[in-house]
Parts: sequence; structure tokens; C-alpha cells
Amino acid sequence: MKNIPLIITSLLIFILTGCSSSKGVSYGDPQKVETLTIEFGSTDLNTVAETMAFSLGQSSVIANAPTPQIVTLAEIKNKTREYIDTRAITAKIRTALTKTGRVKFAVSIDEMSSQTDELERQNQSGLYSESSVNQLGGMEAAKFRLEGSVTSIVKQTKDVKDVYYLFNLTLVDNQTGLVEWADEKEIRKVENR
Amino acid sequence: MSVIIGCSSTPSIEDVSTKSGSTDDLEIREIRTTVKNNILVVQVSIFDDGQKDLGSYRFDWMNEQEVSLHLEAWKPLPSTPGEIIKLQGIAPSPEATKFRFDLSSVD
Repeated sequence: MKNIPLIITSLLIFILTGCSSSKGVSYGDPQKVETLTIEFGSTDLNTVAETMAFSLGQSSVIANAPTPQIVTLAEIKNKTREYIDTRAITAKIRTALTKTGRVKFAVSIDEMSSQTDELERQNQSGLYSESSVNQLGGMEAAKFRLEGSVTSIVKQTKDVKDVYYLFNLTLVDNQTGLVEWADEKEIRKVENR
Repeated sequence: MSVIIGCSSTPSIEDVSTKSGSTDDLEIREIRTTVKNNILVVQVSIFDDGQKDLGSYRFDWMNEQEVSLHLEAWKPLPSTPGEIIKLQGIAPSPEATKFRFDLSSVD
């Protein structure tokens, strides 16, 4: 008998907790600032890609060209100790620049395999009409390549962790080897524990 | 909204910016524009009066008819209490002749 109020109280707490639980899936805004952890995240990816893409887009070599320049994506070296998908950065830059209509991208080294596979399939399988087949030797070479690197400096004490990222991007003329454009983006993230 | 004429101009802040969320300690002091290689470049000066919550910003680039051409992702504002932050936005294409600057707090 003495335990009945305790049992009832426990039951009520159990029921109320169950009713107020917030499980389930919800959609978030992919463009919003994310500060979940100090690691490289979606906000950093968006910030770097947009800043670099528009900076390149307003450079004289791109903006003042009479026709769209042909660029290929080379490697962005990850010199940090963290996993950063640098291809995601270059993919976003490529999308942003392609939308402007002032840059055309040639297939990169990584994408060459699928390009040659498709050409071989069309030319050697005997399945396609001659008039529709894309001929070998018709690819357009890129005038420029986009390459760069990301480095980081990490410092931490018992209470604070400070991470500094530095992204460098350059546009190199494939014929002359000259750097026609370069820019960098710095990001500093601080975590207080 | 301001129409960009000539090389540089100072549009009215109220006409080209919005503030939302907890941004009372962030004051947009000045917005300046210029055109470089036919591309609109905007510089925004913000005074941080000890903003407690993390702030974020973005540019919405529009054409002459104020149709949005590109809405940027939100970017974090560096925390610099007592200092003026200068932010630069570069339009994605020559068609973007107008813009809106959004300031917000991060949820």
C-alpha cells in the first residue's frame, strides 16, 4: 500500500516521457550554418566553393574572354590530417562556374576513363549508325587547369581547440605554365570545451 | 533596391539588406558597390557590438527585374566584438546587377 503512490508516480513519469519523445526524421536546410563539430563541414564546403568560384569568375582571364574558356579540374591536395573530400569542393566550383556560362569544363584525368570507354563503345562495338557515332580524335583540350591545396593548423589546450584552414586555388595555363589566377580562403574554427 | 551606375556607389542599407533572428548587436554600417570586369562586387561593413549568438550572412544575387539568379549558402560571421567586419560578395555573372544582403543569427 505504501508503495502505491510511488508506483503511480513512476507510471506517470514513464507515460509522459513516452508522449513527449521527439524521435523521428526531419529535414534541415542544407544551406544553413552548421556548428555541430569543429571538423570540416558542409558550411565550410559551401563557403570555400562559392568564394573561389565567384572570385575566378570575375578574373579578367575568364570575364573578359570573348568565348567561354575551357578548363579542366586537376587535384586539390589535402595536406591536413583530416579527411576532406576535395573532389566535392571542385565539383561545387565546377557547377557554379558552368552555370555562369563563361566556363566550359573538359573531362578531368579521373573522368577520362569513362570518356574513352564511351568512345570505344561507340566506335568499336558496331552497334551504332555511322552518322551518329562520335569520332575519335574530336575531344577539345583544356586551355587551363584548376588545382590547389588545403592545409590546416591545429592547436589545442585543455579548454580550447583552434583549427585554421587555408585553401589555395590556382588557374594555370596548360601551354605556357603561367598562373593566370590565384586566390585563397581562410577559415578559423574555435571549439570551447 | 539600388541600381548600380558607374564604377562605384553607396546604396541605401535599408533597401538592400535584411536582418533576422538575434542580430541586435550587429550593425550594418556601410554597403559599397563597384563593378570589376563587368561583375558586381559588394563590400559590407558590419560593426560587432559584442554579439553573443553566432551570426551568419548571405547574398542573394538578382537580375535587373529582381529575379533571383543565385541565392548563396549562409556563411558564418567571424566573432570580432568591438570591431568592424568587412565582407565581400562577388556576383556570379554580369547578369546579376542587383543584390540583397541577409544577416541572421545561427539557430
